[in-house]
Amino acid sequence: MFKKVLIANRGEIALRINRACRELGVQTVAIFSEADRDSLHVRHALEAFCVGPGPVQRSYLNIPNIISTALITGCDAVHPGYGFLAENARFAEICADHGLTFIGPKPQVIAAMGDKATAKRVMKEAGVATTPGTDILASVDEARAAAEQIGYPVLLKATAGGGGKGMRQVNGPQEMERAFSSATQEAEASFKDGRVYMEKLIVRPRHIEVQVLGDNYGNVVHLGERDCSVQKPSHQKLIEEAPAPNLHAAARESLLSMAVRAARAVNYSNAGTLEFLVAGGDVYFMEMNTRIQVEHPVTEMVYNIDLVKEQIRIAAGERLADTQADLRPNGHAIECRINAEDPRNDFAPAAGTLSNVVFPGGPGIRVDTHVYSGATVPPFYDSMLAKIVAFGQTREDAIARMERALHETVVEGVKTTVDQCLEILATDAFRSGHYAIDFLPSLMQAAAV
Amino acid sequence: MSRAAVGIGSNLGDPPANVRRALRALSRAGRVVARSRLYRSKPWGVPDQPDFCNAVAIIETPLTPRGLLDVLKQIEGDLGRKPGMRWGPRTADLDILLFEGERVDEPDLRIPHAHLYERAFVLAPLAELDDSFRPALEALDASERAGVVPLEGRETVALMSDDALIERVRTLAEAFIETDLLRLRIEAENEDAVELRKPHSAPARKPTAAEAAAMEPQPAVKPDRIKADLVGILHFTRPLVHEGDRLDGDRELAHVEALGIRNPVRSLGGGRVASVRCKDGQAVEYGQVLFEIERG
Repeated sequence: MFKKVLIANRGEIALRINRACRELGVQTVAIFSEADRDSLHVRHALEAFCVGPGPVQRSYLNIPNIISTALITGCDAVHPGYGFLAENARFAEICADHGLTFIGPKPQVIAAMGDKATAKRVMKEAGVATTPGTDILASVDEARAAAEQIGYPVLLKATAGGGGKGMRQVNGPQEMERAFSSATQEAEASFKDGRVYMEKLIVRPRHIEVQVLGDNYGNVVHLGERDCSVQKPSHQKLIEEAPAPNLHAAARESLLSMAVRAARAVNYSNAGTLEFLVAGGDVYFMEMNTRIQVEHPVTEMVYNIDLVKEQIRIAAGERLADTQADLRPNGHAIECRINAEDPRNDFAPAAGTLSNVVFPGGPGIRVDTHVYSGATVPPFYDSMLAKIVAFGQTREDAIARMERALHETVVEGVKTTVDQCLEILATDAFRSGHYAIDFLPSLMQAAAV
Repeated sequence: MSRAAVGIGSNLGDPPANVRRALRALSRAGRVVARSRLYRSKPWGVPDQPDFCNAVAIIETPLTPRGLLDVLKQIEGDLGRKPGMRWGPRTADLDILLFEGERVDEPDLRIPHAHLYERAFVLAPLAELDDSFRPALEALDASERAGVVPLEGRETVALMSDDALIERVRTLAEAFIETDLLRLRIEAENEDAVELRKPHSAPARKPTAAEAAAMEPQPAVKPDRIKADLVGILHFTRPLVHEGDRLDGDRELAHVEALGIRNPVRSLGGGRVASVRCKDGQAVEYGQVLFEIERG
């Protein structure tokens, strides 16, 4: 086991990692920016070093200062958390070059899964269903022929990608010619690269993802799925739950076995998540996240496991303690993200001082947070203040408990998503478990009219 | 992917809300990696207009400068800017200030932005995100700088466009200082609440003249602080400097060893060493004060 771990992150995940380390008897070193000097993650760690000013490029992404901190404090491993350097293959390599164990998968795997085209190809080869699509299309005729095969509606996308530029939805063959030429022209004008490709448009999909764990000896297990279909228009997740409600047993089985097959195919070690789009009985691989995720606690609740400790044990060279047969889910868990933002104003993020903060407690409630009464929310970072997780034997129990917990929650000084979460929990769509990724955007539209 | 700095300004309707909306809409053009606080500034060019709210964001974008400009125009359109006066009131105005590795000089697009080094409302938020803009900001005329005020904290005072209401809050704030109250909350219909607070330790009333005289700081030259700008192990450079030593000019005082590289710490000019705040062989962090030097 490691002696000392550098936590290369901030906020609630830095606290989460610190807790796992301390429970394993591992010492910790925190890093922080000048804007985070009074943050809780700095107080909880045994040692803490300022690595730069507020802007992330100069602090939480400042690789030389982070590596230097790890070396002068005698760390033997680095935990990247999520975001920042968590999926930076180069950073993982630099850690290795300096004799530090990067707590995550191998750099080659991070790089391969970070590139969408490579990830898709690898998954296809492993027999994982991916969104049907094409390579670069040379002509309108080729585009029409491809669309016939894939089935309308389809999306034309610029290979250079970004900002929705050069992207067109095509609902039928009569629209293809116009869409193809305008997408090509727009892509040329925006990226100096007019090449476009095609993908099937999945209508009203659910976002369901599978948690996997792999060790350094080729053992891979899954820890069930999470439904993350409650997403803001920007596709950021707001509420997640495990297991996914109303998921057909056959679809679940294919999802889980596909995830394990995919992780084996890339010889995956450490914790990872495979994201899928699910529409009816069809399942399509979207991407793999080679890190711990924000919503990992819902899996921890139903599997009664500590995923961050597992990450550390695996990186330290231990074998997976559990076989697939040992891992039995129990009950239902829901997570609500409490963000410092205004749902009535397009989720505008807010910085400021939290004048009064009271988090819920009692049976079946877990709160992961780095804020407290009097804490300031700096403008440089993610707006998430806390994750409230409710566990129940049934989905109904978990919802009732979450509602009770949200009513206990007090956050004064900035606008938050608390009321919005309560509103969502009260809808028929959420209560019945019949919702897809268009759910929150259309709920917001209905409220705005 | 390229990095670009985008400036945002608004002086119509609810300017801070417009700027926030524009900041959010920027995700259409790429990933927003940093953004400044909001600043209030007096209108420039055309007087008799409401105050501006300004901010700067750094984005990582796959777009070309031209492609980015198109997206910014689209965002302006969505936010309701009406084509018209060149420097007239607008819902929101988005400009490319800088674009990594690009220089453009065309009638409708100049990168770096034509007025980049002339306007405090651009430089102040930029300097917040990148220290290298600080000298340019400080070189600006004091009167120009005075017109720019960061909207601190909850920023709600700035949301009230009604001068009468601002006047009322100011009167209440003055009265509040005279009282023993620590917290005062003012709620007006259709407005965000305003909260005034005093630190718990601060005296709640005005000090008497005698107390004020006793508290008056002794006139003294504030020493320059020499700080570490990276994390590493500090080693003194010989000959060692001690408290009270006089330095004739710029010299190396110590160096910080990081990743096998020796990074000098210099006195940046002469003066008297007021204090040595570090020990040989010590681990130092970013921003840690190492030496204090009295100039002159």
